[in-house]
Amino acid sequence: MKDKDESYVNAVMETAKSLWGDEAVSKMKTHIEQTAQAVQRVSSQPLTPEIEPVIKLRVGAK
Amino acid sequence: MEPYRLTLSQASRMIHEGSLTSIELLESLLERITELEPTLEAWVTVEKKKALSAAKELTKEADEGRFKGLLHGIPVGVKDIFYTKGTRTTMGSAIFNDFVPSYDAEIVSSLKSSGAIILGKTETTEFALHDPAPTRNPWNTQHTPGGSSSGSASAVSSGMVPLALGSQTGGSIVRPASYCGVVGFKGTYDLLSRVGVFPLSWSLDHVGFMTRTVSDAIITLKTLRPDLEIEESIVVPKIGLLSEYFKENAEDEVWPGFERVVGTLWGEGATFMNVELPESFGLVQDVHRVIMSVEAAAVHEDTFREKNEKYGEYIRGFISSGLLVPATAYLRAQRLRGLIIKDIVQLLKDYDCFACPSTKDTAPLGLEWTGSPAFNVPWSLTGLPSVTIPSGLSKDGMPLGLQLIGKPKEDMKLLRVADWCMKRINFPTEPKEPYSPMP
Repeated sequence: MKDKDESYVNAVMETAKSLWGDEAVSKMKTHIEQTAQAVQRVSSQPLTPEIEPVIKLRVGAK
Repeated sequence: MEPYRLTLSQASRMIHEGSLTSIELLESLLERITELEPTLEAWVTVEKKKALSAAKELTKEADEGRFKGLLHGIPVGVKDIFYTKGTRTTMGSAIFNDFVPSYDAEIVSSLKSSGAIILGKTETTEFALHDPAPTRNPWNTQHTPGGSSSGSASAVSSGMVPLALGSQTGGSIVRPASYCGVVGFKGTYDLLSRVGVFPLSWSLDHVGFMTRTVSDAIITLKTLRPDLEIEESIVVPKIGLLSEYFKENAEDEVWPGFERVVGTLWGEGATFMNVELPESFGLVQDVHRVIMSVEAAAVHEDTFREKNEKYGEYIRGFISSGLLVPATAYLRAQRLRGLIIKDIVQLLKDYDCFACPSTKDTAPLGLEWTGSPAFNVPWSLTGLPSVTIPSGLSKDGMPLGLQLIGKPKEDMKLLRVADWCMKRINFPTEPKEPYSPMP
């Protein structure tokens, strides 16, 4: 994992602990990490007007 | 032949001809349930009295030459996240243990209107996610039937019912159907109504069903969506072959089994061409996870706050993770989803459908884990119609599945192609007698 990604996942884990406590978060660690990693990868995808030249969601949907 | 052994098509034909009554069919299925349910645990509720009452009425109508539709007198299992008026609907959760809806889901109403009998509610994983149901796989009772539509798959496979409803947000129809050696179909997004179906993730949830043959699936879809034109028979299908991601992630015998069935169909005249997946395909699993976790969190937010301790371990973690996703990331995921859909639909235009294995593995040993939806997630994310047909067995006797993916709104054409394939694969469509090896 790149440093930037790792620091984002760590930040999410810290947020979770502040909300729900260490013990609760320890049981949900895998889920929180996996979703945070997915968020990080999704958020790093560029979406410029050249890539997404429309203004509505779900371009190919009906 | 014992009526429970009949496929939906055979039973429907015999009821219309007058050589079988819906009471005879129902009684045979009830006996089968009595015999197998202690082993398979596929049902939350069996509505014996209500079903018998409906069967008597429908038999009377048939005697008078009046038929409501092709499903007249056909018993149906309903996954326990579909609302059923007057019948307990638990969502597989302790929170809804005593919940009795005051109305039917739209699709349940449609089934009743076409003469189907609601036989009962089938087991689901908790809120249709991953915390498992008690259900066992008839092909080997030490293995999971998959999920989340666990009870529907096990019940159809073992001949306890010829048709059962399911829902899919990731892989919850195609995966259990494949693990249990039956046909599982999910339509184009919103082809079948989600009204009255407890949501897991609004923009990803699909309604579908399981049967033992594709012909049965065609009858069911035509009944539920009479506006769809039945495509003329397929001469020979032109199929885009998906490898790359699927070959790399398939375990054990799955890929060789897929190649075998492709070889069989090629020998029968089908055209296969390799398809290169678009770059955006690499984002599918992440985009799906972000959308599903956020939407599941939104569905459950209020109840989760009040009754957190009543949620199973998997869904508790999944919902919690969704509560932490920034709104901008969710919207970015939806925008990326649009690009993925555009890319894949563009690739599909030269083919009747795509083909890949239905699952990355055969049904895992044990009941704790219902298996990976990874090979189904792309088609839930893109909203494309998909169907699994049983395509062979692994060395240890567990079913393998062939997954076909069609163009948006070309659901009936997809089923025609699946029918063409199934008739050439010749997988047995008899109910599976449960196999319980010595521990």
